[in-house]
Amino acid sequence: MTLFEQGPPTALSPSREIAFDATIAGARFLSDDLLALGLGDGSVRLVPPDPACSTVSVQAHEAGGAVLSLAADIDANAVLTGGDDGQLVRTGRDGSSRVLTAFPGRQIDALAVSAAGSLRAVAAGRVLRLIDRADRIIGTSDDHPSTITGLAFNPKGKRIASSHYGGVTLRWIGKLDQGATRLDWHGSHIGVTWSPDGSAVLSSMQDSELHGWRLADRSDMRMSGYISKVRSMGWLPRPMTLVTAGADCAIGWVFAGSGPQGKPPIEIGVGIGRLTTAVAVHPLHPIVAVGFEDGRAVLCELAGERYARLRPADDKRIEELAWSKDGKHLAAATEDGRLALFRMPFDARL
Amino acid sequence: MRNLSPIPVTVLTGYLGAGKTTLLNRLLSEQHGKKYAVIVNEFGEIGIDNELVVNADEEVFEMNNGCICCTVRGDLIRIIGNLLKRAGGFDGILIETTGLADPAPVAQTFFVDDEVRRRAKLDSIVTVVDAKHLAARLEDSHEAAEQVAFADTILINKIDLVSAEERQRIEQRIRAINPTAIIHNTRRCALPIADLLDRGAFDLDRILEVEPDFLSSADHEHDDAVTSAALIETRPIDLNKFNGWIGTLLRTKGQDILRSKGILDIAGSPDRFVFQAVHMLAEGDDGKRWLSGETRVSKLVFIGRGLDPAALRAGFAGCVAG
Repeated sequence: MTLFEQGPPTALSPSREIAFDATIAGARFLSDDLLALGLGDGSVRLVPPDPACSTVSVQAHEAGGAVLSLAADIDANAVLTGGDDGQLVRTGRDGSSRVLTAFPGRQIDALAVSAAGSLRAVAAGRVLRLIDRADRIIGTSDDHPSTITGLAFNPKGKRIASSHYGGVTLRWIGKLDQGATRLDWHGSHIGVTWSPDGSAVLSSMQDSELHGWRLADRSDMRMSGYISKVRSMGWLPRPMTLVTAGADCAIGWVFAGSGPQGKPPIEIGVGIGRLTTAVAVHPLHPIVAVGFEDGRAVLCELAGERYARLRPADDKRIEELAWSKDGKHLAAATEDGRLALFRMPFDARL
Repeated sequence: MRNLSPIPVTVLTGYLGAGKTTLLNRLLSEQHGKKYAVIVNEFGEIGIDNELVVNADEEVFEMNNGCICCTVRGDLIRIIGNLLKRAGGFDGILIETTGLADPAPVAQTFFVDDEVRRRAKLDSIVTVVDAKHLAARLEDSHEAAEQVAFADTILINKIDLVSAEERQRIEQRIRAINPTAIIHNTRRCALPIADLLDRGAFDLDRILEVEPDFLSSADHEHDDAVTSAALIETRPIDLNKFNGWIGTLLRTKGQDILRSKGILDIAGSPDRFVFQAVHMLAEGDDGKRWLSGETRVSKLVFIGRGLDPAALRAGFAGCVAG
């Protein structure tokens, strides 16, 4: 099966383009393909893919402040945003918003949601809070060795991983304040992800490499060769592959067999030769959207060299890429506030 | 679409009680037409509630980059990255450090992290010292000397509490450690804000004004005292030779060399070559063009412990082109 025709790469035209007056700090699709954006002016924007439908702006955070983190909420009918006003806010698709919890004087830049576990996790400084579907804080932990830089639930939503200086800490949801498992590795860990089968935890490091732990035997995995910090990661479930930005192409680490350590990774979108700043794995097909530091975005097959152009270079780095749940819509957002939405020419039956 | 030009960052250091908080409160409360985001430390005492004041825990991290003295402020990397997401709204960033902080990790953060480098530039390091107590602090704490060594601008505060002779002695003491810093004498840190912020002090032009013969006086010193050495060379420099020499020097002696900076006349180049380093981390780039008729010289300043001026001079002389 090939998704792209032979010959020179094709180009897709955006179905909708908007330029905002603030950085786009996060982008996620909610239910019914409604795109939620978090902006550097503290607002949440709700953007329907249809250009005929108008965009809704909600001042979810303090005006003049910034959204720093964003995730679709448990039911995908709302978006959660963490701001530099120290507030975690839920904004519904109807435009209503409410504060779920607050850390006065702090920046909220670590946030995770588990639909399977019906939970939200948020961190500021060394403090982690878990909030259930009814907006109750059901757990708090404040004994992290340093600031929490990233959060990830395991696939079942029973455990939470937090990254920090010196490694990653794993906790059971029901026993947040006891029995933490510490996965140590020297250096500053700036983000964390859990493999879709729950068998491994991977962290991104300040030193431009990934570190991983296989949970069965706590064995270490080191994945290096990046030219920048890895700020964007995504998973393809089968064959289980971690796709990341941070090199001069997107990098895919295949976890089959004894991998990925010691095996060369898959290089995706080779040939453009600029730093990749964002990746998004298609929810159904082995296709990856790849964004570059110069504003270019392309659609690549995981294996294969052909790609389709999405966005030309304009020297404004791609900050975020996101797929809708059915994989029909893709959003590309730049650091200077430009949004491009694309409707895919293929459908879920392919 | 928003403007993404690099934002100037000023670092404020100073020993406990020197007057940092007074200065910070002035910067935040006075009408000076500029808006600054201020990153304060966890022990800070500023009494101003301002949406642009961010609390930081000074988290000093080691880098795994093979540079043994390379530590950075991990919290700053995050906080600056977050601040830069704000839609406009401020003209610069001010970072307050705790009284006992070594300034190196803060400065090194601006060398090491690509994202910080891309969007923010270290404008200057401002150190506040207490006129009455500086001498004693230099005796009993490494950090006090380091704060003076790293400074681009030094405020000798509480100047009204010392005599004219004491004042002169303090200036000499500071000059012995740091010959390039701009010195202001102040009471209650009173001076025009424009003298402190967005100075471009890191553009190093002042080095050309330093007297080349100014080598720190040898009186009143321990083996581990911070001193400085200023070198001059009138013959053009070979950039490859210089890179080889300075690279080896910083790799082997970079733990003791706190700062080095220079402006070089490179053979065949119409532009000044500007160079600076914090411990082992160095960067060099083309600077301003030499004016026609201007006397081209190369000057280098080293600030550190256990400097060997004769060896440095010989090494630098070995970089002459031809």
